[in-house]
Amino acid sequence: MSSTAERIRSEVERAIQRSIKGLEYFASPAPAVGPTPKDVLHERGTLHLYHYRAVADEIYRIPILIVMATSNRGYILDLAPGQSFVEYLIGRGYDVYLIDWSPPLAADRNLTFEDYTLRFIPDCVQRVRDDSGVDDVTVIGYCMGGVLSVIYAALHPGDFTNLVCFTTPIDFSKMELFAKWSDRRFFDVDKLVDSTGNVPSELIFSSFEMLRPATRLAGQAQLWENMGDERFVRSYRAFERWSTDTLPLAGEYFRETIKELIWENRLHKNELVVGGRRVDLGAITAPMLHAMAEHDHIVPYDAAKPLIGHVGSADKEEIVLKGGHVSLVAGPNAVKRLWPRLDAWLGVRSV
Amino acid sequence: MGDDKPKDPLALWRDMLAQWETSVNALANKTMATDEYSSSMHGAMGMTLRMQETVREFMAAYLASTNLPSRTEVLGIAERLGAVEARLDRMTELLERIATPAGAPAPSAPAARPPRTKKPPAAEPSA
Repeated sequence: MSSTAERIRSEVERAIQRSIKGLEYFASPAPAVGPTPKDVLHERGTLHLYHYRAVADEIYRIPILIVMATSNRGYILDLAPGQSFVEYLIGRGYDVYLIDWSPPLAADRNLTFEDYTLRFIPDCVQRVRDDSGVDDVTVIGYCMGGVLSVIYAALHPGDFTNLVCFTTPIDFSKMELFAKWSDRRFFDVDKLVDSTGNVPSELIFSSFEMLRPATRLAGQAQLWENMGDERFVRSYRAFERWSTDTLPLAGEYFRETIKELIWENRLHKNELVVGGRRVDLGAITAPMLHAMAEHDHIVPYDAAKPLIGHVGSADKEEIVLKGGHVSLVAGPNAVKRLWPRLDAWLGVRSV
Repeated sequence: MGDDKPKDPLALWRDMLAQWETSVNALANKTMATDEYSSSMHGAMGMTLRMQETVREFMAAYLASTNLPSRTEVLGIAERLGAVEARLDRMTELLERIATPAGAPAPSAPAARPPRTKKPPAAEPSA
């Protein structure tokens, strides 16, 4: 009886605390993100190339260039101290560079796969070489950043040393809801791109949200329940800020994604042509790692799985870890799962 | 029975919430995977685009009549400003390179970096 009374009292206290913290939550500014010190190495319209400052006494010989997904901000990889993939990497002795994207301007509406994979990425790889003084570079791509990295890699097989992809879709027919929503019988992509120029971020945000319509509400209920737990609230707010901070997409790039990748599935069929050159994934022979998430609702396992089979590398490995599309690379689970696995794989290939 | 550990009163709520989330997501995904849904979604999008076009045309005519620049014109100016900034950046980079004696670090280069001698833990000699 007394334990029930104690339980009720503690629940009432928690409810009061939640209300106080709830008020603080709404009154406080958005959390700061991207805290790891960095220098801007190069900027070109929508593209920003950062170099993170080393903290280790000695670093691996081969630097890393991370290519962020074009639809989202790169600070998901550097959310907060202790929750930062970049901070982890530099702490483990890697020299880290990152390609991040800002909203494309009206002038960027004509950017295509060719610009991203034959101009932007090779140019950044060269800048990393010049800045680090090392010819070898490891390229890491996340989601669509992985798709762009794979296309770049197939078209420049001798230009990089290792390739790592996180949740990178290859068979777009297996991204079932996206494929359904962009069904060519109903979706007039030409009309959308011709009338909007760049595709608005609201549309990109809604597409991600619609994949899990109940999750935001359930997340808010969880937040309310954990309002007294500052660590939970800080993490929730940082993720919340990131997930609503989607980027518009360059119009032509979006049109190509829909027509060439989703409608025709050309990357999977090894038929994609970029800048007049066929993208043959078999031409990739560098050591390669592909990490996928078991419960990825954005890039399902079946959509990402064929990548390793396609590439011609003798040294290649795929890993499937528990978690979702974002929790694979960021958050408390990534700290325990992906990051140490990547470190173990990459360390021996970075000397 | 009475000696059992007291149950967390919120556990039931958490379970219910998780179940609700899973079932609503599953149901919604099923509905959204139908032709009818795709068709109506794009029908609505087409209507919005047509509406936006009409508003844009109307606003352009209105702004012209009041002697104000339209969005397209402002974006055109922004584009040209962007090009001027990019050219200035390239010129600054070039000037810095010209002004720096051969062999010296570039002025924008950060302080000395650690040596690239790190070996993976397994390859390091044991102490």
